[in-house]
Amino acid sequence: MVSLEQVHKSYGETPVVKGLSLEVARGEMIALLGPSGCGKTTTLRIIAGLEHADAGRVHIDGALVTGQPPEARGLGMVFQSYAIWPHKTVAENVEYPLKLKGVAGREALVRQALGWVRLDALAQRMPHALSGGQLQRVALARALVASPKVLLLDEPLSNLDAALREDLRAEIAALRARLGTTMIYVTHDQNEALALADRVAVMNHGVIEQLAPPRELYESPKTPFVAAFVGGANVLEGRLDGADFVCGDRRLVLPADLERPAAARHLVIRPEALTVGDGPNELGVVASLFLGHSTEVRFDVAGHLMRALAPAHVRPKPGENVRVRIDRAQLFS
Amino acid sequence: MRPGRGEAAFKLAAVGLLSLLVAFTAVPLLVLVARAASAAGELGLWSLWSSPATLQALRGTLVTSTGAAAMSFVLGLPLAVLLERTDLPHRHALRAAFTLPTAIPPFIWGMGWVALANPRAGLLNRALGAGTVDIYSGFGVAFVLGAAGLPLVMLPAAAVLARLDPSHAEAARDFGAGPVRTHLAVPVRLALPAAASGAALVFLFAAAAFGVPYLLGVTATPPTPTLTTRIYAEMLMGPAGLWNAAAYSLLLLAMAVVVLLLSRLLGRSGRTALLSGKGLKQRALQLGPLRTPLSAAVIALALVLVVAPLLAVALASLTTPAGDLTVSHWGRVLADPRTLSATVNSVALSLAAAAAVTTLGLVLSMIRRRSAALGHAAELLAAWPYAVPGTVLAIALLAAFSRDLRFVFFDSFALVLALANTLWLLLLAWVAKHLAFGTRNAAEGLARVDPSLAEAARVSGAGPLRAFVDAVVPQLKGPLAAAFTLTFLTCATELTLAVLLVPPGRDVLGTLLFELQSYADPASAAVIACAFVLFVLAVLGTRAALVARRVDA
Repeated sequence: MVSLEQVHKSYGETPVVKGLSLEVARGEMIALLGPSGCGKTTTLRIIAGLEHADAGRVHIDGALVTGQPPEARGLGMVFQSYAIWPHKTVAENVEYPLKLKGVAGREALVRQALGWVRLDALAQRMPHALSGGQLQRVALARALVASPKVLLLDEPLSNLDAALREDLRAEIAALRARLGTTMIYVTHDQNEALALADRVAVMNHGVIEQLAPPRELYESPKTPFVAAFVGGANVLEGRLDGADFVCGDRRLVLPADLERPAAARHLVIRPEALTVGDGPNELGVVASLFLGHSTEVRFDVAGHLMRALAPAHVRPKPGENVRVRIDRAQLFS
Repeated sequence: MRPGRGEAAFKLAAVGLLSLLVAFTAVPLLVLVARAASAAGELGLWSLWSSPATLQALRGTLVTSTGAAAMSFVLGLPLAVLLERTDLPHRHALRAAFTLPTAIPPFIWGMGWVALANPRAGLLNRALGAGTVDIYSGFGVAFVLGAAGLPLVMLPAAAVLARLDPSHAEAARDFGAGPVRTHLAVPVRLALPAAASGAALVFLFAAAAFGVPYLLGVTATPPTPTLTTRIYAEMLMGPAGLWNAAAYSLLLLAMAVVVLLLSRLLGRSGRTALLSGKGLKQRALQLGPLRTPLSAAVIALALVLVVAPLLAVALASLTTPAGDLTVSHWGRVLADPRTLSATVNSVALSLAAAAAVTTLGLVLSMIRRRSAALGHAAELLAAWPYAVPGTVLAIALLAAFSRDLRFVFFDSFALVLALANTLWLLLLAWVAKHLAFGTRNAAEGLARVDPSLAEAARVSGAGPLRAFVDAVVPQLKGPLAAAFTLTFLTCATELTLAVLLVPPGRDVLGTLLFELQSYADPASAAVIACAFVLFVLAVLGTRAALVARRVDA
């Protein structure tokens, strides 16, 4: 449905997107996930036509759209700042794309779209009388009312507070199940990406580090960055010495069955893959945070912080030395 | 952005508009410089500048402008402190009263003082004995302009005091400073640069003033000519005089540039004065036993500087020379066909100027949004005519358009621009002079509009222009309406450009007022001045009510 081929974009001397290629299937929902400045929003804006790539090609629904303005692309878009026109009523906001297309029977379509987001009752309200969550639902209705080929969402939940964010996330998932619209969803929040998307593209420094379904991404990250960003894994730099991994002046005993490529430079360990209170390694506790269902224990490893999730009853004190076992880990070059 | 067809069209439109601006704002100034340099004749520019008449005019301008700046500074800074930082009663009404001079043309304040302090017939001199006060003097010019320029010092200083970071006052108190030092010495020191920069602007405003020095200085004994009145005198001498007028204009222009740079410099030093945007509510300084005497003094000052001259003008419009009340002046003025034609001309031209300024402001800001470099150039072009003294602008336009300009395109199609001796030249001058109102308001409004509003319209299927009109322009209604009102009011009551540019036989209200007051019939002039004041108060009142209603809603 959407395909990007070798897309490049720089702002002045700074490259933002570096040779990015991506295929999105019809009806698929792809999340572009990454930290701020990774190029995810720029990529979305290039698809929308709000930015133009310096090189590379963009196809939408089989047609080459590179160089076409946004109004010619037949898309819908939801912005982080809602972008609801404050001088129009809710219904007028939603009607606008239909009006531009000269569609007949607009009133019924507007009512239908407002029904999708359960805002029928507020059709005649002015935007200043609406909450942030309601505004973003208006934006969803406006973006979907004209049956766009693709719905683009640019951090749609980032301006909302936590409870609303979960509500609206569920709402987006329900809308998608109902309408089957192809969606591209930009976020820096791994939970949103994993919960909503069919596939997640993790971006860093203008390239996709890994594109995979959520479970695969979580269970077998291809790079230390993906492991750290998606699973919150600890990433330690060092080298293999015999069977052990040496990080600074620290020697860590690894699981016996771990594959040990000679060129390994990064050790990746998830917090939940560490056993605290038993094992071959002895590490100094920096802090121990009670989280309710578990305790997060923070260790010092040659000046680096390593987080472990332990059962709630384990409460080591800062300054103590505790035995630790690495149950599972990954080595990357 | 990739240069598409739309982009090329945009560039073309932008460049076209910029060249138009250059043609009507920058080129006249260059023509002025060139003509003055070449046409000062065999004597040369230098000998003209160093002639006794020039030096006398230069001295007149320097003395009256310095006096006006000093007066506005000495009164404006304490007023700002009293109205902004203390518990003085009636602060709101007093602030409104002291702000009024910005909305009423200085010439009318001059008329008020003539009615009050004319040595023979002035109300004050009738009460105190003939010749007690004489407004016809260099001192009178400085006094009237100083009072009219007061808000230029008071408002910026008050703005600084209102935004002052309260932690400074708290720090001063923590270090053991008493309430007077905490609430006065420290804030005053921080507001000083803004007040000084404002005083420099008053100097500029006074040096550029024409009506008041003409009214009070030329007929004084001894006469106090200024550069602007010299320029006017030269203009009356016909084409030959224009080049001398251009030479004087250059002096005035040079002075304006120096003072403007000075004001910028002072203003900038003020911005480093440890301000924060927090704008927390300040604790007012309790005036205690001084409250009543200070309050009486400030109210008396408002009565003398603001209320008395306006009442004097009203009274002059309603009394016979013998002092009896009459409405015959009003009847005469209202029945005079010249009043009607001048009003129609003024209203039509002011509306046209306001519409042009607002539209151009919007277009210039649009350019700025698309291309920073072009936008910057456009903003500079729009800003300078406002800073240039009105007399200089008028002489520049006259010099550039004194002859018909003939543009021939493709050897067949000729466009003849015949602006000399038409009201179009005045319209052009009014638009050029007030362009900055439009660009500044539109740019400030635009800066507050989230770009995603237009982007959402684009993705919805609107082209760039449609998206701008549908999604952005509606958000600019407030600032654009303000620019429109301000331009309309200023032009409708404008005097300097009108007096210099309106051709013989035509009238606008400004020229009518000037002519009646100067030559023929001060009572009729007072009627027109009263109408001006009532009109300004009505517009300001309506706007205040509208704003208040919007805040309520």
